[in-house]
Amino acid sequence: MNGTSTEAAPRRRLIAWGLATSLVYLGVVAGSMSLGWIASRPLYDGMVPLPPYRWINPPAEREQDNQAPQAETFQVRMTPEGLTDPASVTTSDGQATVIFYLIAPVKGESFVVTVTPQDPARVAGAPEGSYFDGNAYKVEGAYEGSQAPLEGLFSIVLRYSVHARRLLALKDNAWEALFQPVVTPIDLQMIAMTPVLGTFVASGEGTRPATGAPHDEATSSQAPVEPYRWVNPPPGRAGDNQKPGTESFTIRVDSFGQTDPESVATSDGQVAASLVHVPPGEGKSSVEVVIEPLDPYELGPPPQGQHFDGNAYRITAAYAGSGDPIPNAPSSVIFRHQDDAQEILVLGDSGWATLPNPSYGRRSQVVSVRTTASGTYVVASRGAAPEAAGPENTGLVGWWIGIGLMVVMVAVAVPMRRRRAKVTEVETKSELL
Amino acid sequence: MTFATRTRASTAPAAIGAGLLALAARAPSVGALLVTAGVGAVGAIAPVERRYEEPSARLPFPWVVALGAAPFFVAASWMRPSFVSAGALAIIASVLAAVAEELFFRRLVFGWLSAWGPGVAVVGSAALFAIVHAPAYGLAVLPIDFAAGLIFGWQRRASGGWQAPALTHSIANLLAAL
Repeated sequence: MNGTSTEAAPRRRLIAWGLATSLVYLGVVAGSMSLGWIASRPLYDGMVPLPPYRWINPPAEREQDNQAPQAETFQVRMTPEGLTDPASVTTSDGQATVIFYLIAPVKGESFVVTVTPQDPARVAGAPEGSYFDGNAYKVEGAYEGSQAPLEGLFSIVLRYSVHARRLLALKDNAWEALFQPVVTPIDLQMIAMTPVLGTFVASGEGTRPATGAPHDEATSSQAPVEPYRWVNPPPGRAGDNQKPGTESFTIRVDSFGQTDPESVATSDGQVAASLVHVPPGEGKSSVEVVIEPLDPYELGPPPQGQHFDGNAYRITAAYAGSGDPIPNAPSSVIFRHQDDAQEILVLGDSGWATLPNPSYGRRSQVVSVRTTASGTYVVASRGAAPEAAGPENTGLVGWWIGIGLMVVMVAVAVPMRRRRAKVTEVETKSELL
Repeated sequence: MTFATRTRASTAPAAIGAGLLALAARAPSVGALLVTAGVGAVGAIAPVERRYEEPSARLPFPWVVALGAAPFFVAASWMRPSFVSAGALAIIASVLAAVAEELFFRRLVFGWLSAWGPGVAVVGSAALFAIVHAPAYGLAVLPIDFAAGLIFGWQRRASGGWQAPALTHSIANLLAAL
């Protein structure tokens, strides 16, 4: 036997072990993502320190080293496709981000967004039982040419200081909680959608914890997210599921076709629809939008290689007085989803079809798409159609694959070690690496 | 066993235990970087015994890095981007943590555990690597960090050194930070 073949077998074994560990890792990642345990990092390490929070009005322990944040202005271009460039803007200290989901189409006009940090206590008192956990941020937007206020649908991302659990918006000189913010404690950030720009602040419950260090509590607990409400719950959720109901909204329309409000959202926060402009006309002073949750499987099977990732929603928009449907008004629909939704499907004559260019809410488990006012929609994930057990159980497959691979590795490794111990006299070799 | 060998063997558990506690107590801060660097220094200078049978073959360094880094690129492509903007400090911290932790886990801990065989060294160092990150990141990250630790442990075994896992670990951290 020559030297090459002598070395080839151990090398093949080493490569096989490398491939096995890689597969175990990918199986674990897939399983963890399916369970919603992780979503943003291939490895949780690094301990990247966040810079100290910059306060307009710092707490006592930060008065010495505080750097006050500054107001910043951003110019955003509208592309010929009606998208914004960039898709979001972030202050230079990373404490505030505005994401543009849908901007009212004003042809050829770019717009300017100004983000101004403020002392929230000077804006309005904190709601009872809560405290401000950061600066307030006044977000203003206006089209450059007309100076008309920016209209659309947005997400606000705020970094907070310690333990924020809610994102408040200023409304009628009082703070009002935005629905279901998603909190990422590792980054001390929270994100929530809003149909209008305004003034926002992160808040915690109770009294602000006294901290010696300004940013040493990144491991604060995550705000609870309400369970998804299913029309037809999967078996694991049958016991505690709360069914969503049909909801209707009346939207005023001015003589130019601008709507107020531009967006509506169901009370459980699972769907939001934006209708920023409708064809104006006499007797068309208001629009009624109805959002009806449905079981998507009753409407038709999902496309090949996909499965539904939530309820279907029939959204209809019609002029309130006449009941006339609104033809082809540009709009946007946003859905909360359960799994890892990759598509929004619309129900057509030949079944479910995929809508192009969905936008993902990144960490916020929402997905949006531009469409017309009325239609029946559902979010879907790629991958094998679920078994009878229901969509929520599909994520366990990858998880069990990972566990199975780990068991196989252990089962192989232990006998190998025993066999080697029998064959070889154990030599103790001491050496310094 | 010589006196020097016995001394090295008896100090390793204490150094490892102290290093694990220090790493587990970290929270994202500038102080955590210093702790990590200190633990890495311990991993770099502590004498390490290797008392297991060396593999009869090793893989070339580039192969080991490529095979170990590939799954991190695949996983990163599955994930949604973060809003956290990575500054120079984040990049430095990512690389520093990777190198320091690999010196500690894949040089010192791996070397000490290898007295019980390479399987124990790979799995044990991976388990400890995952556990020390749980206080900062939560129990949900245990499986992914353990599985990543298995890859690093395999790289240590296949390459014969801590440098390949350190490079791969740096790549994985940068994929998370950028």
